[in-house]
Amino acid sequence: MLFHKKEASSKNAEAETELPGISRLISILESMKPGVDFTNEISLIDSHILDSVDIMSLAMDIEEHFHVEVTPLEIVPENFQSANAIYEMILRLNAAR
Amino acid sequence: MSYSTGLYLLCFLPCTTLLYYLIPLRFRFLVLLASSFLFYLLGNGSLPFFLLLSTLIVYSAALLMNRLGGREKKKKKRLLWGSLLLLFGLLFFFKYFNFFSRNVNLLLGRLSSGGKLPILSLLLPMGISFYTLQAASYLIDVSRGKYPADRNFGRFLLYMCFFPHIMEGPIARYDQLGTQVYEGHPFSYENITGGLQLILWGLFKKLVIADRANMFVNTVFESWQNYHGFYVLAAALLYTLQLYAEFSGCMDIAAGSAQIFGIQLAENFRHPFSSRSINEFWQRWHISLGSWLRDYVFYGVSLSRPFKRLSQWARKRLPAHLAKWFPVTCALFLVWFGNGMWHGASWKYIFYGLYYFFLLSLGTLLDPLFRNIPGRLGIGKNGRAYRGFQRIRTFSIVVIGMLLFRAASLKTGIKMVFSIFRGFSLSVLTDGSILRMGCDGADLIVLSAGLIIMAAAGHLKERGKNLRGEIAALPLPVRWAIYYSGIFSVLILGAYGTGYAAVDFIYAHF
Repeated sequence: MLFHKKEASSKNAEAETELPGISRLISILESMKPGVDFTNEISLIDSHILDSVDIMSLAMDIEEHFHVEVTPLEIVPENFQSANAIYEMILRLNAAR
Repeated sequence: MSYSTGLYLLCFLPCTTLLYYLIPLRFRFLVLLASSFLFYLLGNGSLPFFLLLSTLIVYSAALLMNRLGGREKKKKKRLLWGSLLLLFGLLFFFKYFNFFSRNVNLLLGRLSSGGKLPILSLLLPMGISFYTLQAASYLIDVSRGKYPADRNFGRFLLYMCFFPHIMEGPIARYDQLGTQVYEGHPFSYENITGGLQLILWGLFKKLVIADRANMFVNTVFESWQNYHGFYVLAAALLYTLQLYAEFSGCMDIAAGSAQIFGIQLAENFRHPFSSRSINEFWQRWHISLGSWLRDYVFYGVSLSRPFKRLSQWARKRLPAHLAKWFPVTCALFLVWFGNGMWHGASWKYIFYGLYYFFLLSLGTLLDPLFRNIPGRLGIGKNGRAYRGFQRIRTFSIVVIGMLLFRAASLKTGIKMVFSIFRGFSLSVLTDGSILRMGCDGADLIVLSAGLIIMAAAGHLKERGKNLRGEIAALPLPVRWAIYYSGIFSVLILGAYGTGYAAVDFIYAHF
């Protein structure tokens, strides 16, 4: 039992450490919309930089690269206004896995 | 009963307001409920039987889903889909059955001389296109766990039938409106005056601008074979402005009516003609419909398991850009097909929706090719000239779409588009023929002035100006001069009386 627990917890630890950093997210955003300063931009939705089609495409990239499930409940403007907000969403989804 | 009639403005609304503020706070929702039923009876000619049926279906289904909780996901899903099927089944029956029958009969007639589907004499329940989407949004939100089901039937019923928005929207979300309509609001001088100002502005747009433009538009569209070139272009342009003035005017009257009771309806238009792309246009035009289709069709479909599998399949087999484009485009097809169908049971509306689908999906597909062209030509993307070009381009696309929307049929619309390029001449502006198109010189002057005022107000609002607040802060004589100008312009310049015909609200027919 201890062995299984250790194995499970080390697998969880591995999963946690495997989560790519925000730099991966920014490179995904930059390949989608070149020329935008995603490091500093904080109104991606309000400034119409990202639209619903971009968000869908981004959601699929996030699922592929970060191995989290993005549900319709997460698709709210607050979660996509900045790279930080998007990454916080990813961390939250990862913790909920 | 329409929102721009004397019966509504001088009798129904004042009586409802008086009663609302006389009744104790916690019973005020009953006044709104009773008035909404009365409004429905006067507008529809019958009690809201099907509205009640839809309300009951959704209310019960939502409570049952809550009771099932997180353990029985499959049962919840079946309940959700079963209820949505019933809900949309009613809409389909009333709105699309005859369209479906006619087309099936046409097909059967060509294949064989077999039996035909009946064409029924159906009266479309008032507001069914709006309240069905509203009900569906509530049910889907509850199923997603966004908020719990409402146990209070009175509150939910009022959310569904609240009279300012039942006829033409906006399509309200439960978490935005549900509590607002139910909780009694104390009397507020600002809400009463603010609401009346908004109603006045809506009436100005509807009666001074929209109904006047309608005279020119009707002349061309009802006898389109007699017109070409500039006339058709002008009619398409005026129809675009007419529809905006009328629909946004109706939204102002609805929002103003709601504000009188301390209730805030969602914004449905936000200076749409300043849009630089089609995407942006549909985020500013009929916002509640666009956001409904985005949240419940586009996101719902795109994030579903089958579509995620489609996306994974595409990423393995197609080049990177196509792999992202393909599944999104499939979801977009459903959105725009839905948009077209929602507007009406006609091939022209379906074509209208697919017109935007084609342009948007083509734009997304070709974006990597065209994205860098302005830079290569030394044109700044955020420069005035480029932004101006984008706005003109977007507006042109919208005007063509509106021509198709207004035309009697799809075939007529396409012919009218081509007729713009036949015998195009600006001499019609100087040879006096433009004054024989339903609007005389005075009408055109009033119309032009109205359009300029509407554009200026929209532009100032877009720049963050609170026009009503700024007018309220002016010295009393100036303030009241503006208000009285508004009132008299509606009374004197409104397109009614001898020589004018009362025009129904266009979106009430959807």
